[in-house]
Amino acid sequence: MANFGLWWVRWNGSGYESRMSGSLEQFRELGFDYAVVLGQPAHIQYTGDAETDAYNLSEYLSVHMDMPYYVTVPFFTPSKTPRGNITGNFERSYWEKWIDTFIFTHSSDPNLRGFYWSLENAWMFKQDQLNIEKGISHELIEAMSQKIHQAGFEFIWMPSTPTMNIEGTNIFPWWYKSPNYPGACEYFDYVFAQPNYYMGRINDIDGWTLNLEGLKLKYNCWNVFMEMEADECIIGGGGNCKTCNDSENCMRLAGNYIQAQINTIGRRYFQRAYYFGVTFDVVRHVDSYCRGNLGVPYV
Amino acid sequence: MYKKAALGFVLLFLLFLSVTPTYATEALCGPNPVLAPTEYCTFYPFIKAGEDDAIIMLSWDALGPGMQGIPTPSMVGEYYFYFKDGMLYYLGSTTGLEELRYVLHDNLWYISDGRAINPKKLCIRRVLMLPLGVTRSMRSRKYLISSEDYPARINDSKIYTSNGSVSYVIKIPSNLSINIPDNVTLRSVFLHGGVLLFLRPENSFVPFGWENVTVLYYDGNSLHMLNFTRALGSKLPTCQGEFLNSYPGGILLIGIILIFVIVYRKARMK
Repeated sequence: MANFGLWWVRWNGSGYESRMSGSLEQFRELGFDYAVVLGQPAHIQYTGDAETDAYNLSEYLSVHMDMPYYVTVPFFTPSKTPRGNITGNFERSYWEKWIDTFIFTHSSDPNLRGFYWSLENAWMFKQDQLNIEKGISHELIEAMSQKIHQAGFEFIWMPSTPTMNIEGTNIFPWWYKSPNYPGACEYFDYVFAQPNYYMGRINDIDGWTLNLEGLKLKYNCWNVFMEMEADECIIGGGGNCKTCNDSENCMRLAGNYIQAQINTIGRRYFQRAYYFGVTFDVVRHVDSYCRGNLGVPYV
Repeated sequence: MYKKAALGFVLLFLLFLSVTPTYATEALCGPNPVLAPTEYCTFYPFIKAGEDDAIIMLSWDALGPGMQGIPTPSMVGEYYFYFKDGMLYYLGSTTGLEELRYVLHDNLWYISDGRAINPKKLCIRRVLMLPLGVTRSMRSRKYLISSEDYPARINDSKIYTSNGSVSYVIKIPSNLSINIPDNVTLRSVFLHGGVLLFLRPENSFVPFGWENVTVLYYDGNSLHMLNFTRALGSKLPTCQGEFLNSYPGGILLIGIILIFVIVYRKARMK
């Protein structure tokens, strides 16, 4: 059983800093076992040289991350273009150099557990499948996965999946209709699909969860789970909740992720990832709601 | 205990099968998009030319803010149209990973969902079996969903485009206005006797809704704007009386079925 919490960092021009509202100790006290270290595209240093970019982040993390963590493999540059050649080989790509820098420069950092593929597109292979020479190939992710696994690390992904047609994404294989494609669940240790229910991009979290469970069974992909979603709308701040000016409703929406798991499999998933903005009070408020209304903790 | 677990999984799977067709609140792009308030559509046209006809695919992404602040798809899909002689005919649409592939073979357009278009008779029909070469071609890594396209530019109410061997200077009629938004380019695909011109966003983050989709046809004399909204209600008629002549795969299948029937009947008579 493991809880993965998103830990946001920012490059300030000369060094990295945490964007979170509290300390790592408080983060652990909230119930998180692993931190997934990531940043918005403009918040992850980009010089064009992957080794420099990765080295500066790895230096910061080896000093400051006093708990097990997964580090981002950044996909976008600050100007929202891919950092590497997505139609090219993984070998000698920006991403291979980034991963190598973490693996070889800081192999002594016992807290580094793995890598997080930061692209959230659940159809990331589609353009390659259409042969329009624009998309990410299965081969690129497969080679990245092999590299990470051979070095003894894990590889995780959190695609945005606000659709009831989860089967029609690249998370699962596409077997029954020609042509056949492998599923991304084959390359990652954990896939935490984002329902985006909190944002109002789907309305039926129970149906979505049931759908996910059916597909895990159908394709034998037992490493696929759900990402919990909440943000500062819950405590009266700004964010992406469907009804941000109604924090009570946002709380209910966040709690419904837990309720959907209980309704579908009788308990919470053993592996859960949490997006909660950058404010620990968001987690504390939803936790209080879940304990009071559902009889279980949030994290 | 294992039996109970197995029974639980079977029940879950049956329940799953019963609920999968109910796709609620899907993000869909089109003339009447169904989107969450923070989402937008971007369309991306692809044109695969035949002799003097083409299949036009309008690929779309419904995009919303991802957790890292980058526009992220909540659904993807395609619309497919057949084009000939200045007219558009709707072939269907797909969402998610589902997609149609199409190959021109022996003067027929074969579509991967088991249909074939006869460009000469301007009709469509189901086929029992796609020819083997067509299936191979559709599954090949070298399969292309579009023909090569070339840059086009507008200057002084004229469009200039060339594929290296054929060049066109096309006068834009006064009743036609072509607005090219920022981060969008004008491209062309050459037919045997004319050219299709279309707008394409430079990347998938550019908001480019159904109302922005622009494909123009120049037949050598005049320039026309194609109307995709109207074309959604226009379908090719079903082909009549050409089944045996046109579809050898179907003949093969019927032959196999007949052989099975004969063998079965003989076996029963013994």
